[in-house]
Amino acid sequence: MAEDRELAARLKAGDTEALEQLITRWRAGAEAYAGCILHDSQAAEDAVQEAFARIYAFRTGLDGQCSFSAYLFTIVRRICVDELRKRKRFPDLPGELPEPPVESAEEVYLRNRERLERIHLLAELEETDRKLLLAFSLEGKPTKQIAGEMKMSDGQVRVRLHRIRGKLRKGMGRDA
Amino acid sequence: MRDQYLNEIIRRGNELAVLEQAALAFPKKASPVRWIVAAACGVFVMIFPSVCTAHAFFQMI
Repeated sequence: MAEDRELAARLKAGDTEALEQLITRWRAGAEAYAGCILHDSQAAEDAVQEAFARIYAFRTGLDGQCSFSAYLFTIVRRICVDELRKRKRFPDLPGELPEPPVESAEEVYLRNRERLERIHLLAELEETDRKLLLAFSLEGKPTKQIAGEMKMSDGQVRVRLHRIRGKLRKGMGRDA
Repeated sequence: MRDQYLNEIIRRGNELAVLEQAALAFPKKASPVRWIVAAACGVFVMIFPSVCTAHAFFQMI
């Protein structure tokens, strides 16, 4: 059976078979860990699925210095904390969360902080904001055209874009 | 296991990757330093011809 590092290297190159093997290997453990935090098996399954998706989005940033499980559990933990915050059961930063059953998880986060933070922020964007970001930034449409297509006023589009910029800048610590 | 679970992960992962590209391409807001540099350039462009004209005039007289 292939090592995690080998599978991660293949995943980095876009091999979905490698992702499939990593899911088979780590899904149950990650769901158990998420379940310990969320105390809700369905939410834990959703959190782990979302974590695999974020890793897939982040795959080009995977390096051989940290294990795949360290990335996975760090991201699962982050998603679970965000979920608890949404439920307002745990409004403050966690102080007593269970530690991931892998090593170097914090190191992974610190090393890739900016990119992981960007992916977390984008994953949390509302549907309308996602569409706006894509239309304005990637497709290069003017705000008036976007406003017409999305049945909003030009002012509303500009305000939302301004807020998206603010969120990205605040979260990523860059001059967005 | 190439089922709905894996396909959903790939779909969502690709969606996030595209959003990341969009975020990186988001036009940057000009910083105050850029505004100051632009203003200084503008002033220079406005004043420079006048200075040259005045200099030429005084050379003539």
